[in-house]
Amino acid sequence: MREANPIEQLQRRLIELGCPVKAVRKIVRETAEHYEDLQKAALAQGVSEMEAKTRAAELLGEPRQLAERHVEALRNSSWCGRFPLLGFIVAPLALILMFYFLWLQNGGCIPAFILSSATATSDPWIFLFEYYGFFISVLAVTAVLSFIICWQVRRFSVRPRWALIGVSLLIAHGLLIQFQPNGTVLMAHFVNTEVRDPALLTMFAEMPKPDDYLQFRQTRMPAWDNSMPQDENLKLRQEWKKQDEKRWEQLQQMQAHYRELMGVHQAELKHEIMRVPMPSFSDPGWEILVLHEHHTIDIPYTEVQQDNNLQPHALYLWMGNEGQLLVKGAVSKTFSLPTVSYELSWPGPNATLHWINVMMPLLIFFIFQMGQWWMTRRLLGEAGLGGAQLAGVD
Amino acid sequence: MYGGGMTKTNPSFLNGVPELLVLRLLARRAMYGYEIVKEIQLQTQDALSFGEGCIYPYLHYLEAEKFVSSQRREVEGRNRNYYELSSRGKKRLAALEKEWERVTVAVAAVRGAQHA
Repeated sequence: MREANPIEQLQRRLIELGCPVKAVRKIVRETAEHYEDLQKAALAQGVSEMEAKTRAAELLGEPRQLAERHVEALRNSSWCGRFPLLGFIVAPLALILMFYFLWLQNGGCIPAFILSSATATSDPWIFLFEYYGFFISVLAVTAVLSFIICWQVRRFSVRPRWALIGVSLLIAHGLLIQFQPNGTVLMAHFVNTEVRDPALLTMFAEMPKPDDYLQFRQTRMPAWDNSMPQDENLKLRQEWKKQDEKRWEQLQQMQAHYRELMGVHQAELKHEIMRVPMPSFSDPGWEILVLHEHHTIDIPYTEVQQDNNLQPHALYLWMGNEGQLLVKGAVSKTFSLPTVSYELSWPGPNATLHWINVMMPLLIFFIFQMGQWWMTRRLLGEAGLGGAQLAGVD
Repeated sequence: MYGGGMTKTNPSFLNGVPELLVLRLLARRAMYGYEIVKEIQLQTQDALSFGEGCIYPYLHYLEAEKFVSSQRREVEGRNRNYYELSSRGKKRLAALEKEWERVTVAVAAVRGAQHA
């Protein structure tokens, strides 16, 4: 049986140690060139070809040790190779916990912030994100972390057991995670903007008639209304009606004034509404129109927009200090956001997602292992060593 | 450099010296592995001996740390991997030389005291 030359030995040992293909090729190419140079130098000194080869191999160094040095250098070139405990246990655990706590709290601080403004629109893509994107993003984090762990192990020739430890942690974490389709209630919330064209108001609410205000008081505050003496009540109602009529006129004038002054497209207003969320609300059923001098007119609740996902808006209108008409709109619905929580129960409310989340790290690990196995066979084939010798691989 | 079964090598207190030598040589011009080894042997008059293949883990480590960069070039009909010092490598070299000077002065001081 012929003795393998030092380059073949080096290549085989590099493959056995799980050195990445790119690195193997580079190392072998450079070392082979060096070996050739050494042989040429020896031949130039007048020695035989056999002697030149022996001398070149001696000068090159022991191939197996050389391969180990290469792999050691590769490992040491990354922090996760130098400190695998940190890279494959502490870091993934810290990352995934940080992500989940950010994502979990009140349906996730970040998604709640995004969705609180997003739900003010009826954009179907945003609702698609709300109901499916959230879970997909949770699964994506598990997948990305698993991939990074396996990839770092492969890239820096770290021992595969570290990949197994890393993905095992993710699997253990996945076992604790439960997917709740309606886990978090997002309370009614506000959007706030400035209306520069009162014509836009009609897109949100029909202009109330003066009689509506009276009816509103009767239906909304009957106890207070009925406790008053009849004549006094009547007098007060008449007074209110006068005031309401006066305010109605003011509102109409204001509308006319702003209609002349400004022109804003509906889409632009919607965009502004989406952008500026406000965090408090008490009674979404009614709107209050506040004119300057703190006079208040109650406007009956009006459905503004209704589709499968979005409940009616309510509007708050008032006059700003500079005479501008300001609008505060409210989404009068409590939204159920999907979320995840830590619970040890199997299979949990959504078994499919639970399974996927648990099995995905293992799947990614096996894909990498298969890739490694396939590349090893290919490299051994290139080296002329044959797949049968794989049995000797560590 | 590294210990090897076939060749006599230098003791471990020379750790860090190869990096200094390689960076110093590359500071002059771009070189390939064999050239670097020969240059070290020539300039040290074979005082530093090592398995020549061990130069490559060092070069790859320096490349990973971005102290050097490599480029495939064809010279005299042969393709070679040439290594070149980067700006980061220049800083590293300056730091290593400073450190080396500090060590040699300290060693010289001890030796001087013993001879006195």
